[in-house]
Amino acid sequence: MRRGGALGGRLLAALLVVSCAGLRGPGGTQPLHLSELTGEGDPIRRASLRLCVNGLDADEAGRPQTARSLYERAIQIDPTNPYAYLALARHEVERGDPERALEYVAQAETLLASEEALSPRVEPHLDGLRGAALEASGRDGSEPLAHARRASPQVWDDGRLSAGELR
Amino acid sequence: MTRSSRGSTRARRRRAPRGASRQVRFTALLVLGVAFVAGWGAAAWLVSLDRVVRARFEGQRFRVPSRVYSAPSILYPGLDWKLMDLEGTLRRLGYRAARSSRDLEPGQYIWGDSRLRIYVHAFEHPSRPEPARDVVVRLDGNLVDEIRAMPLGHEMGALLLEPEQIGAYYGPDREQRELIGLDDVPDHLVAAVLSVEDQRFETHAGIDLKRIAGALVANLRAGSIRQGGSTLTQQLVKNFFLTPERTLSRKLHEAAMALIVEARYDKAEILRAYLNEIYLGQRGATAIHGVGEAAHVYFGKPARELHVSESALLAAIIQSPNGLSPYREPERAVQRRNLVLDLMQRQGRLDTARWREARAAPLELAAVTPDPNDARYFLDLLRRQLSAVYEPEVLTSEGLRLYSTLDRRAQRLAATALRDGLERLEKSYPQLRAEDPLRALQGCLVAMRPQTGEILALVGGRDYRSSQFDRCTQARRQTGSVFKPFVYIAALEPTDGGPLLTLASFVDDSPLELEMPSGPWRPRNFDRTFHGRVPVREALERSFNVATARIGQQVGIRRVIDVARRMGIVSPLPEVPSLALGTAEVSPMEIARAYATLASGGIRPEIQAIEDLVDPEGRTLERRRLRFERVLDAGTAFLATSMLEGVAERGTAAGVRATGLRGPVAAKTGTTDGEYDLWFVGYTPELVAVVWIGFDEPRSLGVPSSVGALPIWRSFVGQLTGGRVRGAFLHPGDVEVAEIDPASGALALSGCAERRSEYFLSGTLPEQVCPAGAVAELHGDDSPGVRNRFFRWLRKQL
Repeated sequence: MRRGGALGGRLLAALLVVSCAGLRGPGGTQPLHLSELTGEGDPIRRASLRLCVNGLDADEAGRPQTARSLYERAIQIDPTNPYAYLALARHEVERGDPERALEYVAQAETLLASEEALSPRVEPHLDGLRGAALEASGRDGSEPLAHARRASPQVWDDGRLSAGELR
Repeated sequence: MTRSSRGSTRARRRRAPRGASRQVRFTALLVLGVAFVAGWGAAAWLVSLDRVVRARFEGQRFRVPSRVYSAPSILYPGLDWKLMDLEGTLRRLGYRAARSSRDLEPGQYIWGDSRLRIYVHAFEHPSRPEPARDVVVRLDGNLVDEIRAMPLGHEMGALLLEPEQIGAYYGPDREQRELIGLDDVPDHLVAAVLSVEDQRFETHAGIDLKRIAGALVANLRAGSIRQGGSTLTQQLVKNFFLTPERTLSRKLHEAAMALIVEARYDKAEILRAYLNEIYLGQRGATAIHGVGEAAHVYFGKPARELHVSESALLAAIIQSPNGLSPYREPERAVQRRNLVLDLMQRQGRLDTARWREARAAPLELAAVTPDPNDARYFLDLLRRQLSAVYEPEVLTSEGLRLYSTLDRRAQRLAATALRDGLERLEKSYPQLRAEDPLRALQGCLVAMRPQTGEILALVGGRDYRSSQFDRCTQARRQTGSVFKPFVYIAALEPTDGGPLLTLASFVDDSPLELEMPSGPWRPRNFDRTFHGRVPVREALERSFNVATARIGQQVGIRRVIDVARRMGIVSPLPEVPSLALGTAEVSPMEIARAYATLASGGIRPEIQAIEDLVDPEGRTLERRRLRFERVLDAGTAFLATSMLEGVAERGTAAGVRATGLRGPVAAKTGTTDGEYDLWFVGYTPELVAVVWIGFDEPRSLGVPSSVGALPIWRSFVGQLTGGRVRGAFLHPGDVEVAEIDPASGALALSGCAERRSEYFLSGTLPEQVCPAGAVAELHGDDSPGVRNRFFRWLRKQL
């Protein structure tokens, strides 16, 4: 019985290690991917998230206008979907409109806070995008970028969030 | 012989046949002169005709109105398809019910048991094209269960239907056409037109003498004009340049110009012009020109997707588009269609198998969807916005496509709610009726998506035909109590010394007198009484004027103006005490934007009406960008929303729940002095809508806003949401909840007799406690930070 209990304990520990490894990458937090969320929330949120993911696909495939249109459709059906604004912020940083990106980051952050969804998995995205947008607009974004790098080096080491990384 | 004698001999010789030769010479000269003049005249005439022909052919041949489209409808699992009026949407988009699901074509759908199969049209757009797709929508009661793309059955998260056309900017001729190239025209359509209208088009030079002779004989036999001898080129010339009168002069012009056209341009060019120009019927007051437009109107599809039988029908009705209208005269139309098919077959333009099939095809027409006219004010708004960049002529002639933010269903519901609401009010209060429509009771309704500022619906007046003045965007009216939240926000907003008020504060609603240059100002309440010391929530919920005026004085009118400006009010705001009670004149659109700022947690959106503008070649001319700016901290916006939720639950706007509307709603009524203007503003987490009612020449309505404007808002939002509002208002992290004693506003501890929850910005919890003195001994350190930390800890323990 005792041996069985010890084995169970080891198994539990191993499970914990595995599940924690899922959350934390080699050098920080496992970053959030929007495709993980498409089964969450009410039907409207799910559809909106699917459109966001389609938009990220389009961005990745080099069709930025289609991508933006899909993010806007995601907002059309769920204007309080924070991830749609997050995807738009990423899109605008990449497209060279940092001022708009900052507006979208702020909107995403407000909505995430309201949904109590500001987690260590999404905060590096907000910090990183804010930092990248500030840098792109000629201001000092080093501090939020440094936060993002520390928290999620596998994504933010190169100072940018690609569509595939957010997807 | 001298020179003179030689000359006289010649003269004599010439003079010999004197009488006759002079006459001949004179006649010859006359003929030559007349011929010369006639030649010059004819040449000048032809040159002038040529100039006219070239000007038209080489300039802008057609005036093509710009079209305005709504936002697209989106289907997704979980959507209430009955609520979104899927059937009506498909009908308005020109989709047709198919008889069987085999060989479904773009633009067709078929309902099955808990299943809808649609072959969605392709949507052509430079940045967001959608392919034609065959999809199966599985239904579970009123809800969409899943969407799968055929034939492989891939699951789709969402399906976009193409936007609906909501209007167009016509020129004075009100011609509607879609310009198409010959590549977009199926061969059988060309064959059908040529077989019945001009079978020798490919070979004649503009005039078909054989046909003219044939028509002459036929008409002589009939004793009246039964048959025309005009070629396509002549018909084109007549439509382009001439009047329809039947005179010899006009016929001569037509023939000459036809010859010029044929000499100058190739057959393909002429055919293309003809197919785009030809008149093919009427839709209300709008004339349908060209086969591209006609294909959409009659069959709900682009010309390239027409079947042989449909092509033949279009060719058939050219002769008399209204007399042979397939809607009004289906049998006559089919009879002539079959005649066209016969001609096609006889002329070798259609093989026997296809001829037989086309002849047997039933008449399947797109549903008639008359222009509801309910988006006219919105179209005018777009026109005004675009006039800053484009000449009015551009909009009426260059065939632009404007994709707007309008939600077609919301617009229809808004128009109905306003119209019905005003009629109901007039029925209940006959004194509000006016015989003259120009003096009728008016109203407006604007609805907006708060996070993005996108206009979802805009009804600027009761009846566009009698008044085009848009009361939502062009009128400025006193706002009354809908202005009061700006005063409370100014007082709740944290400043260096902390906010003037918290939601646990009490305010003074006792008589107030302020000295003004015009004399003393003594604000009064609607119920003509004073209420003394009242909780701040109650002051707003019951819309007390005196308490609000006093807060305005305490916080400072300048700060109130600053808050209103930040939230989007751009109209002049006089710095006077009465501003707090809404004496400034503001447009409903400004109010909508300001309240949208609250709904979106303090982020003010830019108003958006246009998504993009595309030219006929498919180039994007304008593309909107969502824009917003944080102008209030999220906590203050949340407190204001919480107060306005109280107005909707217990206060002057409590009627919003009367028909069972569920979910989060914040609202404010507004009735100006003398009841000249009735306002109602309400918002949910995803929608803000403003209703205004009044007379254009202000006079008293004699009813408050809760009776006049509120029911219109309730009807609109109730129907739009199906009675269930989605989502929750943003609850920022720096807003805390604490139990307070309602009688004193102090923090309620366990010994306090009554208690209720209240929201506070971090660091603004009340310092007093109930029962009084219960924790006085713990106040060793007076610093607010320590106190707040302690009370936070205490609250957690409680």
